[in-house]
Amino acid sequence: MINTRTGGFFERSISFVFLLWCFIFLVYSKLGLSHNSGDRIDNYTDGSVSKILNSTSSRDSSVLPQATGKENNYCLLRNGQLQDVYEHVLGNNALLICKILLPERRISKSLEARDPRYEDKALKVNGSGVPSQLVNATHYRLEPDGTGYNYASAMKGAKVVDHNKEAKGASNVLGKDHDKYLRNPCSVSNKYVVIELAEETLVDTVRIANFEHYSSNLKEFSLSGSLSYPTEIWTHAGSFVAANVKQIQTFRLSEPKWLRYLKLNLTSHYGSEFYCTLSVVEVFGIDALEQMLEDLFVAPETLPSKPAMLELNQEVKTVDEKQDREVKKNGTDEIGKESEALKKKDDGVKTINSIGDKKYEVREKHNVWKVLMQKVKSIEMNLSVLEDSVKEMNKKQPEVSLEMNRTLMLVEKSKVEIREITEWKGEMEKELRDLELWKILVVSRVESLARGNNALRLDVEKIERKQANLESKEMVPDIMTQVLSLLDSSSLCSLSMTCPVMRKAANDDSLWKFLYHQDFTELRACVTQFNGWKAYYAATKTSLNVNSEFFNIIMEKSHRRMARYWLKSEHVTFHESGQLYTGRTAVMERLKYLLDSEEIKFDCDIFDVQVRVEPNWAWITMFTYPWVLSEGEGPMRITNVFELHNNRWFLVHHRCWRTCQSTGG
Amino acid sequence: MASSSTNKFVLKSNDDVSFEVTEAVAREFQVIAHIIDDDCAKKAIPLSNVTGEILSKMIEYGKKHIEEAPVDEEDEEGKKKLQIWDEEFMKQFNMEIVFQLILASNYLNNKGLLDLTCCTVADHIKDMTPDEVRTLFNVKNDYTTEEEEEIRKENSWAFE
Repeated sequence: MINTRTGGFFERSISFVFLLWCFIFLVYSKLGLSHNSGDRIDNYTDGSVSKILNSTSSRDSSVLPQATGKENNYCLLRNGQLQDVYEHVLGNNALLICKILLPERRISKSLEARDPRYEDKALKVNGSGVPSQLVNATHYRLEPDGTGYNYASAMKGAKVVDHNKEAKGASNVLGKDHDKYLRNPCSVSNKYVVIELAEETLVDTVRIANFEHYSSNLKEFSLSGSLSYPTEIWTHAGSFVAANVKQIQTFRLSEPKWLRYLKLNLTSHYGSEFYCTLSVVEVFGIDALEQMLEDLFVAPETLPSKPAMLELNQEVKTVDEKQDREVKKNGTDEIGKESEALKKKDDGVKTINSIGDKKYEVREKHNVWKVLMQKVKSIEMNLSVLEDSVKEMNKKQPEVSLEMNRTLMLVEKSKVEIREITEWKGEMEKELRDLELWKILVVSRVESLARGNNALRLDVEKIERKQANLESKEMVPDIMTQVLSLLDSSSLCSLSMTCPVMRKAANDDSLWKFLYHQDFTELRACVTQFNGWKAYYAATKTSLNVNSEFFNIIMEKSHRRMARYWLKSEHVTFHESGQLYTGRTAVMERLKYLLDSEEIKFDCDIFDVQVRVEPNWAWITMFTYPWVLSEGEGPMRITNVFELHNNRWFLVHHRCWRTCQSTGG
Repeated sequence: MASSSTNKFVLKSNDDVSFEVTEAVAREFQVIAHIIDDDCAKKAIPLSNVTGEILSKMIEYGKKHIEEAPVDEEDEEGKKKLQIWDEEFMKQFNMEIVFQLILASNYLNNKGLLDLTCCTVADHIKDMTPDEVRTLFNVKNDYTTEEEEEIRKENSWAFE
């Protein structure tokens, strides 16, 4: 069913090819580019013949390999046509050049294709001569050098997006380096690689190879594909069994599939090496762009025919039986002679073809013509617009270059500025660092200053406290003086012996003066010869004490004490009632007599004592009353003179005499 | 005097103890009398050198001397009575308090109390040996032996 349908399709397309040819011819003649057309016509006619052959032979469903071969030829031929048209109409060197095959080669191919064994072999055996293998493909995009366009090449943008986690170096299968490879431990059950192809591709053929020695070759594998990734749904594309060889092996899909992502499941392997490796995966087919370009030029052929399909079929069946039979007849004849007499039949077939076409496509011609003309016009317009724009672009180019130069200069300028700014930044950073250092220094200094300040404040506070103490102590001397003034001389002397401070306070001159006047109210003071009032007080006090001792001795009648009381010197005198004794011996004798005879005539209560004290001597005068007061007689007047020797007072002179009543008081 | 003592004044010690006293008592202390005369006694009068304890004793003394003041110079009995009270008053204190009282009375300028306290001290230290005095005043004998000899000679006359 499929075969018959394709056959019908081919039959119908013949007329369109012819139309196309006519159109091209016309165009060429119009444009005056027909210098090469002769050769081409040959080629085209050749193609048409083969197509006719195709159409006829394809009715015979038993010859499948042949049909595929024809189909292939047809495709290639069509590609050749397209290429020419493309080249000449657009006037550019298209990147995508489809190879034109020589008729001889095609013949041989068709022969090869007829042999099923050969085909089988071709699939299995490594095809180092790539083009010869690729001829089998329905739709192939080819490289300029004629090799297949590998959509699974890393250089084209393909990449490995996923693989089982045990796999190492998965991306190596896409690279050109055949020494690198994908490595799996053979024991891993689920080995797979997901490859993202360079473009959405109608995948036709996959080639796989393993060049690695000491590794197990791949045996069974399956292909599945998807247009999106990640996906759950993988469309099965085919399962294959590879040969156990270290060569590239080619596998054609039973049906080309649109794929972007190709999943390669590695099911089993030959041998029993530890590692299973895979060096190369290549994918061949045709991508959307290519397909579109094809459609652009195939469309004028197919589009008008589609609405008219039924009609055409009817025509083929009913109206043009005659021509049909002729064609059939010719076709069957030609099938028989195909391999030997292809060229010879060209002309005949062409005429048959043209006659047949004219019959059922006259009505369509105008339409097609119109469409084609419109296309051509639009293409021409596009071309002129393109040229204009190119011209404009060319004109603009110097401006652009100027602009570019200016921009470049600006960029240079900014670069310089940036460099300056960077330098400035560096300097600033340095300065900042310096500043920070300085700041730290200052801070530390300020801190030390603050510390010093605190210390100073503490000191000041201390001093203030001390001063307050001092002030409170200053109060003390006043009070001290007041207290001391209440004390007697012996207490003061005791105090002065306690400590230097107390001594100073207790030896205060005014204090002793006060004390002197308090104690010796009747004495007339004459302190000039003395070192202060205390000494004067002391001299006065001691001399008075010594003086009073004189009376004690008299009361005791002690000769010994009296002898000690007097100075052992010859200048001592004793003056008694007008009688003078001079010299120690005389004085002592007289005193002894007096003490023994009890002729002492005065009382020991003395009064009106006057003292004249000098540092070394003291003159003391006093009064006392005699034992028996005679008439007209006053109190006794006594004068004692003492001398200081070895810090001891000694009596040197004594005088006593009776005073008159009047003077005595 | 008593009639003018209707005004009340507040004396505040350095440890924040306040005493309300009549004007008469306040005037016992010469300094406070001056403050009152200068019309600066509207608020509490702060006495920074006197503690509450000492101030209370001083006020006690002042009150007593206002209440029991001799009628006139001839009132020998009143004087005598007050003198006895003074003696009794002073007996309750140790020397430490007496010294503080001396300072306080000196500061507040109360002559009577100052004389009384000085007398107490003088009586206390009278006839004390140098060592006893040293203990009392908590002073050290820092004379050198030569100095001590000199001092002894200087004052020997007093102890003959």
